Amino acid sequence: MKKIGLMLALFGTLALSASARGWDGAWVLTASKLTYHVNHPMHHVEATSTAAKGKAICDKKGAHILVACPVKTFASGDGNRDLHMMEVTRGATYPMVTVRAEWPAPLKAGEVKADVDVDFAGHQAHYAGVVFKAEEFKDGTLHITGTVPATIKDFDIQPPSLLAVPIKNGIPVDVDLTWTRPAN
Amino acid sequence: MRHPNRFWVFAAITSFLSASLPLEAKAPAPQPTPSAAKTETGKPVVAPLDSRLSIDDLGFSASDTKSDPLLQAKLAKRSHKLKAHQVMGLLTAVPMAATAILAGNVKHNSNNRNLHAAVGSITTAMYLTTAYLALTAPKIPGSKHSGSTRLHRYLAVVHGTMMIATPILGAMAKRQLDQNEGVPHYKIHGIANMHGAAAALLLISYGAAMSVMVINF
Repeated sequence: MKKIGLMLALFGTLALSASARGWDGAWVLTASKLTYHVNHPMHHVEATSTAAKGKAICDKKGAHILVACPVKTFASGDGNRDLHMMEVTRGATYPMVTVRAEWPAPLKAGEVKADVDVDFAGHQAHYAGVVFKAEEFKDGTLHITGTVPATIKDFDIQPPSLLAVPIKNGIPVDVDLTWTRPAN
Repeated sequence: MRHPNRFWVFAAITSFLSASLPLEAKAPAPQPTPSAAKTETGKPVVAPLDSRLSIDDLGFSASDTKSDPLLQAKLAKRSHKLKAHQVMGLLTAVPMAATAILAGNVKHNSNNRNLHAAVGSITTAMYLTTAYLALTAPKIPGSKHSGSTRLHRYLAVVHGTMMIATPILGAMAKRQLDQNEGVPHYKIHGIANMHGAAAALLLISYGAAMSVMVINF
């Protein structure tokens, strides 16, 4: 009877320790796909970058995330258009777009809301309550997807135009991030 | 001890807990900034959690993160010239279309022929200005022509060649007609006869070059 009690106590301790650790610790971004969308009456443009890098720290208060990506790595399929994008977004002067996000506890898979701060084109913008979807896979990786509702006015960007018609203000950015914990 | 087994069980649980439960994140503790506020006890306040995350730690190369004002200026100049190229290209389409319309009755009327040639000359001058703006726009190292822009450049080879051939053939045709004014049923002969076909190909390729930049095919 004593041995059964001991085994139960040890097992319970193991289970408790596993759930308490959860997602706590440092995470590294291992795969990413960032896509911005530009809308014009005659064109719909999408440009994608897979060159983002990031780190995240998870603790009892939540997740603190930092992701950065060089502006020049976004490719729309038209080199001339991408160079013009670099010019209007001041991409040579401010070569990086940086995203900081705060994901409040409890950390768990499913739909979550996070506050996002974006540093782009020499300006900062804050987006509160951005909805993301988090999926946890058996191999321990974390997959996060969502859309940041960015606009060109947020970053004081002069809207490019075609035939005197400017692009629309909204430039939503789709994010697709895969995170893993580095081996200790 | 009355119950030695209980002691060892307790010791085992305690040691297991301390080994498996990470009570703090493994990242190094944040360093207090020099300008950080101090608590009432005089000890520095720990910097915000975000300070543990820095863009310098992400592993980007210097070429990725370094600001380049010279490149920015070059991009601005390039955009300015290509914007002017776009406007001039659209404006050139007007006299080009007018030249084509005026070609309708030039064979037997020298006034119409002269007007057609004059508007054609204006078209040529505007076309050369348009081409100059594109050819002298700064080139950005490492950039590649792709998508609609590449197609636009291929079409430029066609309409550029025709823009050279059409006025030359047109001048040859005009000279024949001027020298044979009044000759009934006179037909242009030789290579000058190709002026119409060259002009048609010029119009089609020029229109296509404009369209690929405007319409998302």
